[in-house]
Amino acid sequence: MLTDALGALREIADLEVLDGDRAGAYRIGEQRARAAIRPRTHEAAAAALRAGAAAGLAVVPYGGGTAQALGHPPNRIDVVLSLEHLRGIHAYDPRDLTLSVEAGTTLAELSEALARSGQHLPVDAPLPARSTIGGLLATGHSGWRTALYSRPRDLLIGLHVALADGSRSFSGGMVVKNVTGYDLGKLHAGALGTLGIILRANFKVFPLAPARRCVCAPLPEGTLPAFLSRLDALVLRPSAAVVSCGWSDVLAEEQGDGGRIAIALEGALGEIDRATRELRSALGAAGIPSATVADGPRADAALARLNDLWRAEIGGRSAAYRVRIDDGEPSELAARLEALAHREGLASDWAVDLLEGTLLARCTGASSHALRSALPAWDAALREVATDARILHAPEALRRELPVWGGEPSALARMREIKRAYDPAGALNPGRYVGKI
Amino acid sequence: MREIVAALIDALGPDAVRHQPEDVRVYAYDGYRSGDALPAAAILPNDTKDVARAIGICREHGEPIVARGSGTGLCGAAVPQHGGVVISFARMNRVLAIDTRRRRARVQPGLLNARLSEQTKALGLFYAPDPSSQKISSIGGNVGTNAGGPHCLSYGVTTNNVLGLEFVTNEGEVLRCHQDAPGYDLTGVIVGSEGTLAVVTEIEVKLRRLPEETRVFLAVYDSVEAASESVSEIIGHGLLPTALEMMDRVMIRAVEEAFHAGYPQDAAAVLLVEVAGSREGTDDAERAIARIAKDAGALTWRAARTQAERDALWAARKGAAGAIGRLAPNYYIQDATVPRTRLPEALRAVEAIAAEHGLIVANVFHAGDGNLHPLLLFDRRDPRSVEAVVRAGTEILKQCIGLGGTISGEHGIGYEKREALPLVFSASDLAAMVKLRDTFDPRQLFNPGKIFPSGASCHEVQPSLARTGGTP
Repeated sequence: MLTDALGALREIADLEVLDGDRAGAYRIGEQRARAAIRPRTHEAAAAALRAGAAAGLAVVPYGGGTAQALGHPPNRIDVVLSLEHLRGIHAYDPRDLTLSVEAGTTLAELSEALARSGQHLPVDAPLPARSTIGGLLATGHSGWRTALYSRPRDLLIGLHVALADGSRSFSGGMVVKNVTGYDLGKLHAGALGTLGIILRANFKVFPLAPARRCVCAPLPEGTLPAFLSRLDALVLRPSAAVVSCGWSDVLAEEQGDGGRIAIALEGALGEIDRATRELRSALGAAGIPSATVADGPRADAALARLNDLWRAEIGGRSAAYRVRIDDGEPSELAARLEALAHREGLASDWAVDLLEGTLLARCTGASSHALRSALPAWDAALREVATDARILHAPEALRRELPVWGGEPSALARMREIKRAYDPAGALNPGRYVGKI
Repeated sequence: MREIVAALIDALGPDAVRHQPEDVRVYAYDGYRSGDALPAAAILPNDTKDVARAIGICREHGEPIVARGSGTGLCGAAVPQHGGVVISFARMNRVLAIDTRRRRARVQPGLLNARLSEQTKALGLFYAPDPSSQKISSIGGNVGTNAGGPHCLSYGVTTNNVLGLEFVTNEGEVLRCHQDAPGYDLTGVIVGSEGTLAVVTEIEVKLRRLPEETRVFLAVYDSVEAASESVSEIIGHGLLPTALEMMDRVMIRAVEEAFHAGYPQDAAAVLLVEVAGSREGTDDAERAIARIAKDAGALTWRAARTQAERDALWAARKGAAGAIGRLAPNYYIQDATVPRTRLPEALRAVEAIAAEHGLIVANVFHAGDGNLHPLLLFDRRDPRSVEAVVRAGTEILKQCIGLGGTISGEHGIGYEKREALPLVFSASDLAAMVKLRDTFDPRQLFNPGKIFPSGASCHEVQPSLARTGGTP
């Protein structure tokens, strides 16, 4: 069947069709693709989906491949649809502070182009040289500067999508304020390609702050609560405030018994100088003695290392979780989870966004077998305190048995209806999303 | 008494149900128009359960359901076009919880926008979206239209400030969604859907820290051109003030006569500029913006020295539409957005279109966002002026689309612009949107006849405009 379908796909103009080893280079978790298609135009992407629907193919969208271990393992993979040929900036006038970019463009490529005009798209992604704009939107990633810049869905002002039936849909526009029609961009952002394939996205962009700084300090045990009360009083809201513990594979910064704290500041030089003074005094008053300061590119690099934590896998024997904490102090929860991990014989690393209350936790076993046997107990203990904890990466066998996306959303039935409306045959990324949609 | 009225009274109590024609008439209009039909009833629920029960009853009777905030909308979205039952949230108007640490609040939809910031002020926090109607418009209504306001330039519009919702489905089921919870972002699509997808009963919003320093400036120009060039230059230099508003000569005169706020009556255009943040940050921003404004031809650049002076300038700006009542019996406020570099062209086009139709136009708008609000003045007793206004309004929209813009920046599509939607979106774009509506509401009981084109001819729009009052 697949051979016939590939024949039909080969008839489509501007569509590259790969099979054999070249297709096998596309990996979805631990599985390799048998076939892959790479459209060069939006028309070809839509035509491929139309042909795929006619042949009953399951299509897995593929950006940079950095988040293919997200979600449940797919039920079926017939063909991978790579956005790799749809890249580049479609439209950009720096004076408008708006941008239209093809989905397969990497964040690094985009950031470089925007930086030439002194601007940026403030999306904090891990592995920016591989992470694509379409992938970042589809996975709903949000990074450490969410409190300042909001989530990528809030920067999005227009979206071009190919739907499962081969039609194309555009919503939004190229202006920063727009209430014309439904905001379908928000439906596709975070939908993991289960409702359509993102082809091109329009964003509002921002001027790069003239001064960027990162203040880091090792954290003595028990000093965080006293600092937190002072953090709220800072005149300049930090762009990120992260406490991390462990992560020796990614971070080299010195840590104390309570981990380490990193605070990013952006703004005019005068204001971040003042913020640094206030920050040093707040740290000192909380009993955190020594802080180091990095400016400009060194500050950017420190933030980039923190971004990479979101995808820091340790060869088949680690699992990472993202937890939204509505009540209580995230660092207390992190410490509790660390103790539970040690009880199960797992190593634990964690990082907390102090401004948003988001926790990233990673457990590592001595071997993949050790992780496999110990993680379910830790997972169950976690879910007693955080029902919406979701898995960012884990070996496939574990993702088959654990509640990857956390508890069922109350609106799950409505979400299933939405999926049925846009993709009645369940062709797009089948089985991977919330509720195995 | 109609059967549905009896059923609603039975479920919610007589005190929560209005059904006499003289009582329901006030629920049949918004800031754009009055409806053709009166609703069968208007209900005033006390809580989410009441809303769910009422929706269940409407569903059984096949009656349309129209959720209503304060009725200040400007596109006919809250008008019960096909009768049915209007849900007023006047009694569900409380702040339910405030989380100062994470800067969030949970509120009921009937809470008036300005009340929220009043209640959080003592905590050093505020709610950013501030439509001009904020003293009377409700947060639920703001959610329905995805309302904007002058300060959205730096803080985003309603959708960027709403984290989660509780809503009632067409089946009377109570559900919750959050933009950061796993699953499709229902929050993102329900905000701005003008009550066509669900009825929102609770809203979690972001709050922000009140800035240490707020400064307001007035830049005065001898041409609209120079003022709009200034706007393009300020944004083009990567400067994002917290607000950047423009008024033209006609508007300045009306506003100054009404409010005596200190706007120069002989100016061709003014820019109202606000910068806020730390002292150091506002110092830098002020210097940079003042220099650009002067280079672009500002005749004077003046700072509001006191809080009272700042408040007066803002009160006059937010009351601008009302002040137009001094110049003409009626006005039609248009709402379109263009890329910010195209503002000078857009304003020239507006002026040319108005002149061609013999109309007076007054401009007051969110220049920093490229969001135009030309007010076309007319007298509804004169059918020719009504006709001219309708034509000019449509031409302005077309011009803005031609400049890369769109047909509504913040007021919504509602009834007013539904026939213009195909100017922006293709049949396949619209089909994808309608598909979403049909999953939420296959029988089209939630606010029917809104947003999407009916296929009905355009002459329907014209008589509706003839009934427009002077309400902003």
